[in-house]
Amino acid sequence: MNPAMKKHLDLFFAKRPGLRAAAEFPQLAATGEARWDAERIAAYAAICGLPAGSTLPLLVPQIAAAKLHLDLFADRQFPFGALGIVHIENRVELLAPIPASAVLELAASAGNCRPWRPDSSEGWLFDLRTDVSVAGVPKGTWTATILARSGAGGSKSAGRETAGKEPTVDGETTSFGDLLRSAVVTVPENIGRRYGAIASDRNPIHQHALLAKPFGFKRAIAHGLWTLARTLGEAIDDLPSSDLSLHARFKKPIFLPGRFLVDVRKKEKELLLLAQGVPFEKTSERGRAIPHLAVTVTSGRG
Amino acid sequence: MSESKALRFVPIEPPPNAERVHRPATFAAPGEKRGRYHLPEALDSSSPIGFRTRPSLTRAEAERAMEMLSLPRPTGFVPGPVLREEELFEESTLGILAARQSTNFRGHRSIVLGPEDSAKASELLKKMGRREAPVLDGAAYTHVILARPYVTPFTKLLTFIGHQPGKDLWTVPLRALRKAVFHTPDIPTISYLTELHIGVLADALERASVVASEGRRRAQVFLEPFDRPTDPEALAAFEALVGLRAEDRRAGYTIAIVAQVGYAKPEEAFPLEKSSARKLGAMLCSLRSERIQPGVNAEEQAPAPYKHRQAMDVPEELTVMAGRAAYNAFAHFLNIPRERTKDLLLLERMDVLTPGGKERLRGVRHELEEITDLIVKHLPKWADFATGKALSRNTQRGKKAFALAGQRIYLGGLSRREVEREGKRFPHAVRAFGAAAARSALVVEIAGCTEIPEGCDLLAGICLMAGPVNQNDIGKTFFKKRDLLSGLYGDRDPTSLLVWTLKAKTVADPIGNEEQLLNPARKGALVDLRPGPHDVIFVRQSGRNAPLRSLGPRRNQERAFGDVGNFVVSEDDREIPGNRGSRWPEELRTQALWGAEVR
Repeated sequence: MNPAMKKHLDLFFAKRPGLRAAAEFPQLAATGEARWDAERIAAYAAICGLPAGSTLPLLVPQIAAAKLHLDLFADRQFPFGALGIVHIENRVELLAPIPASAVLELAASAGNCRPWRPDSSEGWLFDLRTDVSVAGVPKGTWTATILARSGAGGSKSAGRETAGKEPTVDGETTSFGDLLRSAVVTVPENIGRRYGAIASDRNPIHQHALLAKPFGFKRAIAHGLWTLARTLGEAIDDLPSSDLSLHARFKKPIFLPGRFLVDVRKKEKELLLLAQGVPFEKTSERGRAIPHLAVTVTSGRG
Repeated sequence: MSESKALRFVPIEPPPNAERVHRPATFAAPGEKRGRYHLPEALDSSSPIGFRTRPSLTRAEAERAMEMLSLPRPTGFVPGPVLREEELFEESTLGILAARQSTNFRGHRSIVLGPEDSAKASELLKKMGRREAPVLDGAAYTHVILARPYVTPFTKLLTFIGHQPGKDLWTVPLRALRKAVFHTPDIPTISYLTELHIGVLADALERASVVASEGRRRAQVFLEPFDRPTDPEALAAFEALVGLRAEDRRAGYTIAIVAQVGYAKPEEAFPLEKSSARKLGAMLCSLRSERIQPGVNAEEQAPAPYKHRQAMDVPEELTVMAGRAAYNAFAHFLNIPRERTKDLLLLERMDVLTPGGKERLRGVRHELEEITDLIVKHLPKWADFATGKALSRNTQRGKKAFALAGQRIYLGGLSRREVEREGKRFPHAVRAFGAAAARSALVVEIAGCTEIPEGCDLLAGICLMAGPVNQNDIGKTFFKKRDLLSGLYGDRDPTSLLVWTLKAKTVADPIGNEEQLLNPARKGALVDLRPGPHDVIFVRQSGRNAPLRSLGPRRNQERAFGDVGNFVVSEDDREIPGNRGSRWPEELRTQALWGAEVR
């Protein structure tokens, strides 16, 4: 069997050591380089509803590092299987815009493991951090927070349960600053396949309803990073081009096909973006109050 | 040839303070059944319009707008910067995306040619021979409007009308086939309606270029039907230039309007203050047909503001100005001396304030209802039963479309014989009639949006109705009835075309009426949903037609002239989710659509 294939099979099927204490989490790292050609950037921008400008779209470095992330997950020391881990938060600290043609120097690491809840038997959180430089000059850090649940039971409510003091649709958000934008985004059924082909992320839960069902989803769901990019796309002119700090919390999946409402609010230097259920769709009151995604963006590093 | 008479702004006296009411603006409470008087729960539409309130114009702005409505045609263009995407978006919003033609929004498409193609189009137009105005050189771009016949559930219902029992087993399918293949209308006024829509849009295109450019650009609009060119090859070449495809032809699309747009000569520019132009644009996005006269034709379950009469009236002088605008536009688009329009336009005033008006209105209502009864009586029973009596039920429901309410009601039409004697084709005259109707309506609407007092939505509105005329036409075609105008113009072979109902009031129609145009789940049977730019506007670039504002799966969510901020909000200041929209990315908005500066 060729090594690449073996590594991919290991991702899903290799026996994993598990984790009894956060301190046991291995410090794993990988480095590499990546460059996206103009055609791929244009395809990515279009699928995310972004203009294909002269700088790299904000989330591309993180997607470009996906291969390194998989290498980390495939490492025999990595305590969790790749199946069932859930991306629940994302942070970006962008120091300066990255030219679209740049060769990205990527350094990925997994760490900062902590219990998901006080009772660690329910699962663990860890950060997947990617530092990006261009020609030796640091450009920023992309950090995905991942939840590895100990038991089975799918991932549907993971984001919701980690919500903590997050803004709610009917609560703080309606009083947060001024409403700049409010628009409904339509999500076609094939978005997972189209985006997956560009981002090289063909996770079955995004591909088709039939493939998503075995993982506990009633239909296929949109990629979190697509949802984030598409949501940011609605506020693209409000985002600072450098010295940007972004914190996104994925709370509830978007089923395909579907639509969501993006509200963009601004208060001084802080932007709040909420991707929510559309009010005229049949959703329980509770379901409506939980957004799919909440994003805060500030100018200057947080 | 045609000279416009100047229009003056006419103020409308607001009612006493106690009668200054406005539309209730509340969301349905949790668990409450939502009705047409509640605010919509959300808006999911790529239309640039959205739910808007009428902004209040100052008197100076209204006066300037009146001047704009009587501008003569441009005589030439000068070089100017190449068009940016956002400019086309805003201009198209005031043209094809918002023109008063809610019954056929999706029956029109616009192909926008860049400067090079516009130069070719100009040459071809000259070869085709345009009689209504000189073809100009140096256009910065050209809107080519394709139009198809009017198709709604109403026109489908018409297929079953006017057949003889027994024979209907084959005459119904035959007529359906003729409609599907040859687009043959069941009654003449249905094809006239298509022409009226074209006229309405033509008038809007002239204005759109001025408002969207703050008066720097002007449009030369051609609306005479293109089907009989001097040089047929030139027409074929023109169709090829805009990329008219066989499937478009099968769907009934033909070239209906050509609007050359360019930078105005300094002496023909019409400078507008930026803030005024923005407000005018936002106002044009906010206009709706007003069907309700408070205290006259409100439903039983309507909220209080609709149920009480207001001490207001449409000033006589305003109707004079509206009429003047109609004559101006008719002469302008038909290219005839203005004085001739007074002979050609057949108008009958029939409101309760006219002597005998009440009886006349009652007579018209009775006649139209009689026709409804005849339709139901003669509907093919097999078709009615097969559809669960949907045909007769919908015919009865259609009576709502004939409600004539307003302080001033005018019925208008033309005499084919007299139009042809004038050397003009009837379809051309019907188009000019549509333009005239739209422009006269705007005079009233601008007055209704000027110095709006606190606590009021507007001061006057208008509804242009074809329903009564269509119903009368069914009577003429199948049940030997006379034209509605034949009482006054019996010896002139009249064809009635439209009804104007003018209303002075301070409360806008329920928001549910607007929702019929924006929410697919609540779409009205007789109207089209407002389209998004990608649905109907195509930019001709490198020989291909690219839809405007289509980026991957993303479509427009921007509300044009949204910077004016005239969005509907609830009494407690909450916005309708999705209504504010989101501006299209700046990088794309500011993109030049075609190459370099126009020479």
